[in-house]
Amino acid sequence: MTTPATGPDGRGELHLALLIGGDFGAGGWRRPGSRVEELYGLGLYQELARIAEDARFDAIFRADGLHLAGDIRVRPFARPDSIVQLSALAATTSHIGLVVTASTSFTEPYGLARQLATLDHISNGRVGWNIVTSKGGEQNFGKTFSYGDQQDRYRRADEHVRVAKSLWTSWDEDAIVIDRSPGGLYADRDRIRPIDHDGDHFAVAGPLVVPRSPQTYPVLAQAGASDSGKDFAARHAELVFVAATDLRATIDYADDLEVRLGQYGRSRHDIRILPGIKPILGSTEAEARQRYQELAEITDWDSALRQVGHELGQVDLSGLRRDLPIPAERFTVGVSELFYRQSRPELLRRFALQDGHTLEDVVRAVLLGAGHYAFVGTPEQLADELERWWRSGAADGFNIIPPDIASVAGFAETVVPLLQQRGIFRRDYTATTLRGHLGLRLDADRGDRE
Amino acid sequence: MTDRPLFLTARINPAGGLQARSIDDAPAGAAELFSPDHWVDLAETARSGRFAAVFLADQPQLRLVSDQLPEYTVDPLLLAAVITSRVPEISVVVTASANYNQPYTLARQFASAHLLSDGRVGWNAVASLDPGVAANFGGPVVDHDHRYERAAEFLDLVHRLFGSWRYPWRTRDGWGEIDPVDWQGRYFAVAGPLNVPLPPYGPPVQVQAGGSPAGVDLAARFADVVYAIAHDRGYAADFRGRLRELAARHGRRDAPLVAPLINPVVVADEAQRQRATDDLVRSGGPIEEQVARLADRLGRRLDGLDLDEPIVIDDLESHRPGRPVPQGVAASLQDLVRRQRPTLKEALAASTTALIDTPERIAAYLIDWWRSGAADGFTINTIAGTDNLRDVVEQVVPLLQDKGVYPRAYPDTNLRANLGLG
Repeated sequence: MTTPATGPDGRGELHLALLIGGDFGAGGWRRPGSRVEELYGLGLYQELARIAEDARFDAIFRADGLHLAGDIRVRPFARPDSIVQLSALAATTSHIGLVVTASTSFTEPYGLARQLATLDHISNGRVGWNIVTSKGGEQNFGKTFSYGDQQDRYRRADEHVRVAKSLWTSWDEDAIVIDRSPGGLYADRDRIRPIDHDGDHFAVAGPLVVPRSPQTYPVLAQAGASDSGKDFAARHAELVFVAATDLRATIDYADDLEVRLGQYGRSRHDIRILPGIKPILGSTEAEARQRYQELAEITDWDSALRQVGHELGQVDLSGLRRDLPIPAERFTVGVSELFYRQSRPELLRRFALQDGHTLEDVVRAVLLGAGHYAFVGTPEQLADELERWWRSGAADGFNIIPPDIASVAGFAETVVPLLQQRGIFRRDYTATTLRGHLGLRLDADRGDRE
Repeated sequence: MTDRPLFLTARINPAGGLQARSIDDAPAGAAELFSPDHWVDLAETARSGRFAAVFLADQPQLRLVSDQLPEYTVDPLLLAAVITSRVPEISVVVTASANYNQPYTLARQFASAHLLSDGRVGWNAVASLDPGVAANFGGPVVDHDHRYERAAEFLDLVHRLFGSWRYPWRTRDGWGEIDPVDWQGRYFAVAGPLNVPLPPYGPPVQVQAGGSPAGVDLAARFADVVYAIAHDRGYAADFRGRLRELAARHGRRDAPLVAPLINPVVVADEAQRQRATDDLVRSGGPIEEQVARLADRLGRRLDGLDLDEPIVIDDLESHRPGRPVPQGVAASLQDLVRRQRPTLKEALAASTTALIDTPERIAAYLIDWWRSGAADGFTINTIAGTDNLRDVVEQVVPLLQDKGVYPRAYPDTNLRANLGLG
């Protein structure tokens, strides 16, 4: 295993991804200049991709959901299919990585492996796959998929990914021979093999219809923080997106993951950990705090309570006082009994019961940060904070969650140059593929050793 | 004769640069073979000829044809996203299976590509049960007799999903109306609504191509445009008439537009025509294979026939096809051979729906079919390794425009409006 050998502590530079496809803030859409009208077009995202590429981000990270979630009357929801959207963006960008989100619970490996290989070809090696087992959406896939408990879903995910890996390697790199002489052949059939997979969830003959793609397979990314999720990450992921409200939680996560990686013959160097961070910036601290107040303004309290109650895991928040903490007895359903996901509610509940946080604190933190670290301060302070997290060894970089659309350019113009001046972020791309940007190496044989 | 202008679409090969192998400067590296530039260039050519759309066929299985060349490769919907983001005005019709996709996912992906391209995506729905495809998706999803019943439910459901979130684009008043789909069918159970809004210009254009009776019935119910294989004007006119009648019987006020597939090869004179026919037959792979394929389609034994000998279909022994033959293709080709008595070589060329002629005669042929009600438009097959699409754009299209039957500029910005569909 190699690891980038430069940098203060034997590591490379830090990595930055830009999260898009969130809802750009709960109430933020009401503010003038939110550009909420453009959420369903392509132009806005082409612009954001250009800003991120000019700033030398490693990747765009597209979150996704498979159903019309939340209350559309008060909460915009802009989610075209992530693979289609990033294919369109691949056409107008040249270097930045494109991480799509796709569910293993509601897709077949053949169709998905083909789409991801296609995107890897048309982007010339820039695709990543954020593997999710889905939080909800099963009502849209009845009769054709069953939606098991969390362990079942991860078992299916494991088989899905193993099948996909076999498909992605079903063409040898030298299978295309292009012999133009008379009687010469285009491809060597002996170097293209069926996979003949017959497992618990899938039966797939193969080979893939798409030749070996530039990266062989997408950079495999994952965001689950439950036991099953972390175990899955240790087996398959090269990039993990972590929800952590502070550095301590990130360090705990990294330590835990390192132990699990060891169980699968992998090391900490084989994976990049990117906590999510929501930067709320101002040229002074006071200005930043003012921005936070604006962004966290709650205009529809009842709807906010329903949403936050759902995020906390079936908690009824009605009839509570805003200025007092949520009583512990309101958490009637234990985290382990939650059907969809468990790690996020656990994180949020810990925050709710900590440090005397009031109901209003919790609602704001959930709506604004969605369980991520919301940083409020100046660009210099944020650069310090990012460097501190990065030097701790727990964070290899950050998934930047813009609180609104304008803040993408703001971060790129103010924080990125500071990181570059400190020598901890690239001034130019030195690689052409996403795996290259991340300083990772493909280990295509691993799939078979598990 | 129809009251709307004639339209053209171009079938471009989804294997892309791979198929350009016979051109000496074809790209050699795998990365370049899949560079979107190849498709973007073809789409630009089609756009300069004011084609309504380019069309991408597809099958999700690896089939290595002659010289071990893959027939289909990358996912065509993602290509459509790339093409429409780089080339303005032109639309892309994408083939996707109603058997090996989830209705919700397919609706969402098409709705997304359609929305992000401002209305320039069509869906060519196929319902084939090719065993090679099935083997990649855990086996056949339905038995052969029920495949069109299942496909009809699939299309019905997808259209309900397309329309399930009606966003108030014009007034921007709130977030729109949501229609819970709550589908409980024989084959699918889908709650909906779709999490992509229906655009102001309507859903993706529905295209269909099956020629069997069940396929035609499906087209009559759902299709905006039908791709037909027709080798003969009379056959095409009958087909279009039947389709319109069936559509009316299904209670439709509009009728699907019919766009037969043709392979035009533009030549300057008779000598070039002969040479091009020879070239076409020669480049079509081993002669025995071509003859065997034609025999399957005609249902007649052709062995022993000389290439320049006329085919008299009723004098030939019947023959049981070695593999399933699309019914529409077979019927249309049998009609042509009966009526025109071509030589074996001419029949081989014609079986590829080749139209090898001068620009004037190709233009006259298209106008004749269009005026006589055999076609509303045409699908021009782009022949790999040749410039036939460019030739049509540069030499045939101006003649159609001079006759006033074909637009000089795009009438609108989205496919539905460009085809004059409601």
